[in-house]
Amino acid sequence: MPYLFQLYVEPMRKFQLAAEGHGERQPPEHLRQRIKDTLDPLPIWYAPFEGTMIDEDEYPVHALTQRPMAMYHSWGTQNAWLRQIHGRNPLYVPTKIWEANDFQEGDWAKVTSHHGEITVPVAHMAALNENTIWTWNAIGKRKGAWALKENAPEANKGFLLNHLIHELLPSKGDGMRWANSDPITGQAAWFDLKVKIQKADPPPDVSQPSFDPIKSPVGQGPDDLAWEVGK
Amino acid sequence: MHPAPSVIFFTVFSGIGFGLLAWLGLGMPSMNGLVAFVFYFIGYAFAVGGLLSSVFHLANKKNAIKSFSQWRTSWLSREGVLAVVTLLTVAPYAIGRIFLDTTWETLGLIGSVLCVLTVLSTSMIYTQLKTVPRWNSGFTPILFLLYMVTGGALFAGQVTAATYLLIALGILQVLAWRDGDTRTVNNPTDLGTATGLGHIGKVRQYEAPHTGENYLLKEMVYQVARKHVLKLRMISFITAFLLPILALMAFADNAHIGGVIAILMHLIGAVTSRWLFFAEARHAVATYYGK
Amino acid sequence: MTALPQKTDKKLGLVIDLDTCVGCHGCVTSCKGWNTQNYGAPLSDKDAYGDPSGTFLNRVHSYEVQPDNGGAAQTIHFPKSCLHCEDAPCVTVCPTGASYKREEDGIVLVNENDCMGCGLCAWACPYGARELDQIAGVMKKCTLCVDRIYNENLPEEDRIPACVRTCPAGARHFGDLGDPNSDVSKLVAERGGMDLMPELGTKPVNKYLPPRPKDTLDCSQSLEPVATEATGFLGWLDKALEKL
Repeated sequence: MPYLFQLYVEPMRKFQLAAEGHGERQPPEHLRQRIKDTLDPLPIWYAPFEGTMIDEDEYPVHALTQRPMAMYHSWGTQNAWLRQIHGRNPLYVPTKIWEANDFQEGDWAKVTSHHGEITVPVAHMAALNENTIWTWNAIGKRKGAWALKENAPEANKGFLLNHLIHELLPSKGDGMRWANSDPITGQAAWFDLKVKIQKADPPPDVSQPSFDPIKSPVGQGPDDLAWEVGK
Repeated sequence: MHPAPSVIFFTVFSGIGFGLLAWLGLGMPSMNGLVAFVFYFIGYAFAVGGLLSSVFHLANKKNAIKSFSQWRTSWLSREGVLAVVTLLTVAPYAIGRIFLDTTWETLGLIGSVLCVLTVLSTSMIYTQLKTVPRWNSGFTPILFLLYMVTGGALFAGQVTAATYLLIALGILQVLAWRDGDTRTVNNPTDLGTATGLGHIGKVRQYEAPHTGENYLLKEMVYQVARKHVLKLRMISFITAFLLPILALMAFADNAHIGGVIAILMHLIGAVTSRWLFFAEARHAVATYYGK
Repeated sequence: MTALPQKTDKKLGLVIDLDTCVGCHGCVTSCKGWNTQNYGAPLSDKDAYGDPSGTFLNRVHSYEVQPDNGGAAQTIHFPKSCLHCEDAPCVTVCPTGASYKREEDGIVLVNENDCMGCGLCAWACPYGARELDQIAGVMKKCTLCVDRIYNENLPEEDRIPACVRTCPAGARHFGDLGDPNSDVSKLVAERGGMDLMPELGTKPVNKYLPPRPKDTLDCSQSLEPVATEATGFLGWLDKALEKL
């Protein structure tokens, strides 16, 4: 069956025409330029907003997360199994950055964005864009969460990049803040993140920032599992 | 390989136990009565104690009795069968020496040969494994047998024989260490052959299949730093061979004291070298983990 | 008996396509799930909600290769489970007879009623295919879903190993590697399926299909621009449309 790809999106062009002054329905003035620039009917590229509002020399590295494929195999009782596949997530660092910072296996790094700072374990990955670091998302957990014990690797060595990412773009000095999101869909712009990275020496005991354990409202899971499904 | 204390003690002490029984079977020492009882008590205690401790090491002990069934194919099964046959064959000879002041020489000889075959069987359990190049060598059965005979000679009070055996064993242990090191360096198995991806280039693991421990890592991927290995080899060499030889020579006029010192030192050294035998043994599966 | 059969009627096994596997661990999870339901003791987990360690029969490693020809490093996900070897070293070492290779189809299995948990078979296996279940005390390994492939209570499309049934990428194949006309045998011949650690002489039945060679990026070969400024009729049309 042929698939019809709409390359030219007519509704988007209507918004853009309005921003250009056509028609009765006009956008709010403070949004006019943004709509003109981004609601293009054809696929376009423009520099991710975060990078245009920070010093990219200070924060030269892209930082991404990837959904752990293994975690899609159900959130329910298989958690005990899936935790063994991804119980902790290192920050994967490409060769150029790995060597520039003289990282060794087992090292930790301080990663900083315009908004925040984390200190996390690193691992070398060569099959990676030379200016991008990444980790698995949704692995890091706060101590006590998910009915896990306090020695859970998720709560000690696992971490999230979330602390580096603000809901809002940096201030422009005009009293207004733009959402750090896609201008059309509103999707949070996690992948626009720019950071700097350096070795953390000495390394902390647990990933930073670390928060006080929360009390589990459902107690804790059993120590050993040897149940037969269906029994 | 994970050096399990129960397996280390089992193989060292049961080896020495069978060694002592072998010397006794050849009439060395030749005393009967109460003295023979003491020797046989030690020999049986070591041999049986060692075997029992290996049963306690099993994860599903209730099936242990089935381990006598596959002697046609399995060295572990053969070891079990031979151990029982040996101890049952030696028993009447021991009874003769202890209670009847009688020495049935042919029976004694048969018993001694069976002791050797039992320990040989034990050594073959390790030697047969192609997965562990360090074990998969002619040195393994040679060492097991020599530790058996040497330890047995020390406990049997055979000072002259023990001295020569300690020298021979010392030399062979060093040669075995070096043979193992060479095999490790020249190991044809690497992550390229393990994955079949070697034809593309250099392979490395960037993420393990699991972030925590599992049975394979705990049992078969045990790492001990090279500098610790060298230190322990020195300690083992000195305590298993050098000091016992010196003790036997220095206390030539007082064989009992010399013997006791030699035995204590040798046991420390034998246990250390058996610990290294496991700790240094690299299993092929470590390759998959990039270790 | 732990003697190996001289020959087997079939050589059932798996073919794993390393060019297609995306490392989703679906096969890992479906295998774990199937084997907590049927054959023998369930696969267990210790300290399941702390620092967990459990028994799995199939695991996926993540490797990267730095090509000799200088191209970019490549990621390869690597599922590994029992290869049901023709010359299985794990079978002959077993003292109780629990470890055996079936003559009718070559599947290597553990009879849990006989296993005493000595672990020697796991020592004999170079591939890490066997894990001793810490709670049951018996050795566990891939059964090639012997309880699925002949199971007439299952719809026909489900009478294949759980891992093969589940793989969303189609990277796993099941069949008789001893029949040169089977789909799996043809796949192996076409793609150059390989043995793992052939130097150890285990004669594995499972085969791995290598990743297809990648192109190297040659940036000097970029296209020349056709024209920087439109001229002639198209140039006029371009300007006219802009004015509208």
